[in-house]
Amino acid sequence: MICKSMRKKLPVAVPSVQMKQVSFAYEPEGTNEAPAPVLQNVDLSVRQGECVVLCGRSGCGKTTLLRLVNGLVPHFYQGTLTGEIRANGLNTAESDLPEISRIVGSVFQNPRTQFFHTDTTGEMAFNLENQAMPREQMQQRLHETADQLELGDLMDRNIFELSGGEKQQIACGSVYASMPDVVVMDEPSSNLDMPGIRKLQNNIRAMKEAGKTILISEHRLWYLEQIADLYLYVENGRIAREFSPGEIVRMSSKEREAMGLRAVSLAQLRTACIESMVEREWNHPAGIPECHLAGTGKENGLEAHGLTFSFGERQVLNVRHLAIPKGAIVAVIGGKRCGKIYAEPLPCRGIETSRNDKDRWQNSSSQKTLAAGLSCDAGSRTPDVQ
Amino acid sequence: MNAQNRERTILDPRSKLAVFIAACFSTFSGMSYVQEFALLLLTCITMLLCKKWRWVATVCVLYVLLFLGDVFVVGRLSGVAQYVALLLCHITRFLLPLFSTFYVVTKTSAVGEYISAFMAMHMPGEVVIPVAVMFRFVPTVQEEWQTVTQAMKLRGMALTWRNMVRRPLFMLENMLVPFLMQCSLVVDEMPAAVMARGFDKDRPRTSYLAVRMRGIDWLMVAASLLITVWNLAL
Repeated sequence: MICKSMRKKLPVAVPSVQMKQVSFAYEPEGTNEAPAPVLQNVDLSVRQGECVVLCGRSGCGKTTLLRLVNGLVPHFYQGTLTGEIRANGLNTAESDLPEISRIVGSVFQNPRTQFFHTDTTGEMAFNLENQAMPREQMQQRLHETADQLELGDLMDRNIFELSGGEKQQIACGSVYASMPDVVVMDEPSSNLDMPGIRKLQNNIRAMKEAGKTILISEHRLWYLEQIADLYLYVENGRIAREFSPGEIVRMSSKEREAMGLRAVSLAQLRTACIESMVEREWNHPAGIPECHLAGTGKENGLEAHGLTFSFGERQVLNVRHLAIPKGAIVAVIGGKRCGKIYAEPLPCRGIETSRNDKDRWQNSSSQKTLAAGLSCDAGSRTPDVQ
Repeated sequence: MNAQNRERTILDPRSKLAVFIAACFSTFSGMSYVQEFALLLLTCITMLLCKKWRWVATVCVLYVLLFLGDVFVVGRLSGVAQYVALLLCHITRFLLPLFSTFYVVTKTSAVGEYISAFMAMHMPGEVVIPVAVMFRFVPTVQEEWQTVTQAMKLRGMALTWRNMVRRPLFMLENMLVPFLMQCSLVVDEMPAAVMARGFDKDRPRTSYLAVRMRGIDWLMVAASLLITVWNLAL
């Protein structure tokens, strides 16, 4: 499905989210300095049912923009606000948070800190309870949400046993159940692995099909390729540029990198992976016979022979031979349950290394070898294979 | 969807809380052996009603060992050894019912049940919210602690007796500072998320879970009250 810009096709209507000449500066903490403005003269108009992606470097003001829409600014985060913000006609600065939450639902970046309950069903019902919905209606609403977002397996479980992706599914379900017109998402794909991102994609698509207006702040853009209607590039607190999906995909990689943007499509992401110098990935539970980094010609900083690790009778790691040159930075990646989370700390527990690498965690020489685990599923800490 | 399953849980969260409060007051009031046994019995009945069979067995065995140690071993030791034995057999024994009831309160009922129960009792938001947040924080604290100790292990600072004795201040600083920083992050972000989802202590809210006090709950509350009064009076 090719997504064309929806702007010309939607009928002219009252904007779902509107900002007029909005400027904001957070209240400074404990200093007498004048607060630095985070947003400056922002004008924004989003139509009902549109999916708008806010992109830009860290610290450009994307999160603050979203907080203006869901009312956390100025009701929770104090500061100096000028201009007008309306969500479905409601002035967010003049209304209180419970009123705004009926219109605007929020999904936050960190699944671990956005949950109030310890069980999934309670969490899904939380927004509905806050709206004083009768119990029978709540149960029906949760049934419908679980069906539409395919969350049946996740109901009535302990939230702390879920993976990051599953937690974000519950967060999306909780928002969907309360049926707001606008959904605000702040980097929802952080902490998610590939299957988690796929599930998030499906949830966002379902919300869009239900006619919600969606605002997403993101660094990881590729998964929104066929979902976003508009991309807004935020720079130094202003909306510097506006792109349709076609325009942003056609942008050259140099221009994209200059703007601090990552790959905006799956094809661009795959190109980036092929260009990397690592030849193989640890993505098989049985391990791989050999793994060497190409083209360095240096002596090994870390070498492992016959490395295995098991939890009881369950083997989670099996590497016949691993050689990493000195000075190399290696990312351990792989799907869920491939053993990567155990591969990361094990080399630090006493495998023989060359004499220059006794204390690998201290930064002193560029000849140190660093083994870093990335793309780990940060949501789960139970002794389960990751 | 299993809200119906939750209603079949035998004890209401309020009766579990009553037992916990009884244990709190009784533990620090000074108890005779008979009073101790009564409190332990109440604790074990509560845990059995919550289907925690293994925990009951562990607590009972531990209690018996500590009791026998207190009666037969402590008197025969002297000096530092006697103090250590006293600490183990006497103080740990007193704290057993307290920890057991805390475990029951935090592990066998969800945050939502407590909120529903307190709302049903028309308790003010100033009471409901801190209690709910406290329960919500228990698994978070466990998670964060696990992360910090694992990170320290990777840096050669595993939480062992040897390391604690060799460099206690260094260990404490490197355990507590990241742990408290992580907890403060949760403390900062969680209220924002909760408020953005429309939670307001001054507004009426309904409850997904139906909690109600049954006969067995009133019995547990009465027993808790009795034990508390008995321990405080005598």
